[in-house]
Amino acid sequence: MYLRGKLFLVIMALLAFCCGALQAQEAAVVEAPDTESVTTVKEYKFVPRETLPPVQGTSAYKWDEKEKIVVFPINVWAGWLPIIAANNGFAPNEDSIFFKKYGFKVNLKLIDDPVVARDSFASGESHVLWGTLDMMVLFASELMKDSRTAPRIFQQVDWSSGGDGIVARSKIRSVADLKGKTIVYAQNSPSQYFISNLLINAGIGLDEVTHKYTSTAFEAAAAFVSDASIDACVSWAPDIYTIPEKIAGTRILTTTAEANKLIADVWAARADFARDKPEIIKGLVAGIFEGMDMLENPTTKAQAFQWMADGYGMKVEDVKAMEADSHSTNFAENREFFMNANNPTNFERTWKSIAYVYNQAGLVKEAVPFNQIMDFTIMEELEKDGQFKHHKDNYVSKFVPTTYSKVNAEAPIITQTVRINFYPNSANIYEPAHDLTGNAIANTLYDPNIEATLEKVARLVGAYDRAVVAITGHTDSSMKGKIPEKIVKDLSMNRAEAVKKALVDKYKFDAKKFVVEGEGWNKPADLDNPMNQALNRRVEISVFPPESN
Amino acid sequence: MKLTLHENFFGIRTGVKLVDQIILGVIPIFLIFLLWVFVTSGKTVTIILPEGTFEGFEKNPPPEGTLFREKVRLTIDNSTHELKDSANDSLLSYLLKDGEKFELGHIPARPFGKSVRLTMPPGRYIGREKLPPAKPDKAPAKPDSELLKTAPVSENVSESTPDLDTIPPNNDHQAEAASPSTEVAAASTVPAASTVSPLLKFKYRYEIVETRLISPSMLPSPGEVYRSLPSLWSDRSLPKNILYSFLRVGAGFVVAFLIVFPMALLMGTFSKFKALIAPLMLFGGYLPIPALVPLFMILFGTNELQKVMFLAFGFAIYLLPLFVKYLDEVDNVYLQTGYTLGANKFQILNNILLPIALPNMFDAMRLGFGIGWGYIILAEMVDMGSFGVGTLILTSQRRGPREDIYLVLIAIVIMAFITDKIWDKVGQQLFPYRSQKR
Repeated sequence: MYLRGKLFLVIMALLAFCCGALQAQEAAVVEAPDTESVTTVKEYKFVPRETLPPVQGTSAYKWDEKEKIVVFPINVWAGWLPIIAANNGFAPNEDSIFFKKYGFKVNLKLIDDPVVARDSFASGESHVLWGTLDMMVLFASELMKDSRTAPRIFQQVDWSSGGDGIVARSKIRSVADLKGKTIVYAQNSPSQYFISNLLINAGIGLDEVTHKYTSTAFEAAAAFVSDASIDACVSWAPDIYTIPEKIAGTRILTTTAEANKLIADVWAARADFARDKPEIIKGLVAGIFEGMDMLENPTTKAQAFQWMADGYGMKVEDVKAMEADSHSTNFAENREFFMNANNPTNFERTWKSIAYVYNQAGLVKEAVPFNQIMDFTIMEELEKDGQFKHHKDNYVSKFVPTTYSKVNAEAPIITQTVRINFYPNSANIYEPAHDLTGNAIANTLYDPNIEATLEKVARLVGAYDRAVVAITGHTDSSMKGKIPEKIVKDLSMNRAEAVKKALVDKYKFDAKKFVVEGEGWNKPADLDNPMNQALNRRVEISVFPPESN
Repeated sequence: MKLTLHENFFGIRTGVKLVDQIILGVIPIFLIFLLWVFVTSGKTVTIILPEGTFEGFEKNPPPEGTLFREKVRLTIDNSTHELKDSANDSLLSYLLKDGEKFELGHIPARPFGKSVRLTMPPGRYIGREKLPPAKPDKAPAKPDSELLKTAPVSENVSESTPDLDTIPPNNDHQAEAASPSTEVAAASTVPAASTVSPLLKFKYRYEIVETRLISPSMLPSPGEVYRSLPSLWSDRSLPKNILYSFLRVGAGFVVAFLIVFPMALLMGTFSKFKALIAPLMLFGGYLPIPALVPLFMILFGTNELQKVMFLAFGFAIYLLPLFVKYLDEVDNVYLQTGYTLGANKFQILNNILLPIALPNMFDAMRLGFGIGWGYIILAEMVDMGSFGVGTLILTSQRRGPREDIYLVLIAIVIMAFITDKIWDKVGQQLFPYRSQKR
């Protein structure tokens, strides 16, 4: 330790005098182990049909070759507007895009209860299962007991974008404040994924919170309203917006308006149906994209809302109010979701995050691997056809440059503390390991977990696509009083910068999304034990609501 | 001629002997069970494969007759996997070892280094195949079942199942890029047959679940349900859940009784009071109870009180009309006689109405107690973390295992039977004159 302290001093002095030179040297090292991140898009190399489980036996879904009606259950959710537009209403008809262009009819059936929808899918009454990706993770292993009912996912319909949210009592300003509190939400639903994901990212153990479960999000909101001992609820629009308006002392903690790439809505087809009728699957995917194009026309859109209102038994203005809950994902965005292996919020990463969260929550022991569910062959074909070349990925959040002090004026939604083992006095996160004499050893990493750590950060930052993210570097206080504070601050700043650079390089985040700050030794990790230096050497990732920039 | 009444076993008064009662009563249950077995039995096939290493049996091969209840990984060394397009544009999957060809049917396989990894469906390891004494069989081994030969081989046969989870996310997907074609090319260079040491083979029998009448993702087989019992019993603590639900049902029943019984008596005694309550009673019977769950939450919170009160409400709207009805049914002659003898309202109630109506009311309570088990899922929809069989069913529906749903149903049926026996015994104690009435 003494030796290391001495070394520290020597290098500190070096740092102070020839800071610039050292920085340049570091920059050169930073690039070395990461040669793959130069391209923005990296496509999967595997072929879906090699990873998807083979279908066995004769197909077991209901099908009338004369009528050709695909039964497509949907729930009450704005994201289905494109398919309603494409289908010319709910009932199977000959004026739909599906019939006119692809020669089959679609019967959109309102089945709001996910368990009923699942049973209808498993029994072959319907060919399609609606759901969020987190629901698919829960359903998959049971459905895959029969290779014919294994779900195949070909298309993402939308991102929840304000449709799901967390409402809390006013005293709760940040996810960190939920520690030790009581939360109510619908079990085994997107709500559970949303809150569990946040808690885990904030470093709060799931057992450090009292969970109350309801069977629907609506009941969760009602429970929060009626029971003052509950500190927060996870629910849906419109409840998450009406509660803070009507009930004093409550506020929205966060919604998917900020975490706008967290909850993905998809549909899955039965494996035997997909095997027998690939052309119909392609027609469904293409038709939904065409529905998105059709909604550009205001008359068609008004008509689609009318159909939606009729189908849901709701008023047109209520249906229109739901529009902001979701963001339809066009072909370009689907391409990113299914085929770009670098995308921090692609299918694979979203699936794995869900699997991890549900494993922590004790719901799923071992999730089905993503590549046994995801099938991007249709996306590949559509890209080859060039039918949706005009679709652009416009769902990119814009950021204006801002500063840490400005952003930090408000409480962050969530703060994720990551521990990166920096080599003493180095700000290089890819620092190689050193031998006893201090020489770098080639092809080693001082922190072998750095990629996994970055991945963890990237998934949170990616999900909170619209939010501003502050990266703050902290150092330990072992040299307090022995060296000037300035160089410590610089070091922690450089470390935060290094994390930002790595994230921007590897996952192609907008650099303006981040603000960095070096806190030096000013903020010990544990106030009760400020000398716990291992905890103190850290980087904190704080997510701030977009309004504050 | 006096009809002999026998001790009733299923709670029904009949003139049938006890033994016959049991036999007759079991027949329909047994038939339902047979039907269940019938619709959830698929065809089984036996496949012959070269000896390999079963996961969990790395040192010695599994003993003969070992039953694998879950999918099991089988690694066959020095072998290659081949996919061939068949005549009808579908893919056939083969395993090649020592020049012999083994048809794999739909068993997922993927190359793993120099070996092939198969994911065997749940089934039974029958044992090593008897070796023919003279020369080893060089003809391609075929599964010996008719079914596998005739079964249409899927068009979408895939040959590998990379287990990505073992690879850190950022290692990307080079691992999957290993193409089967290179492996196959390597295979063709292997000498055609190594007749020196005959190839050890084994038989494996498994069920093709896709041939069941009802898909396993809808209805598990009785065997699967039975095997799920230990985990439901201990891991998901079934007894504790049953106890919680039973206490809730019991408490709800007591609350309902305490409210409904005096109310019924008042209604039976004072016709004005009856006129006051009767419309409410009528409407109550028509209410779709599930829609009232949120209302009870607002009134009684989200804890035990809400569940008990919800169940109490369910009991009350069932019991009240019956109680009133039985009080009404008391023959007017008795009442007239009572009044003639100068009895007041209380004496009429205490000495005439109650003694006559009580046994019927008790029967209503006995039948009504089952209602609570019907409503338990609704009651436990809120605050599902706090145990109960309703919660067990709701969560099993969402994330499985589906087997547990049916186990819980069976458990509830058993509970219902036991409680009904208790009701019966209590009834005999309370109203001994009833069992001799007919």
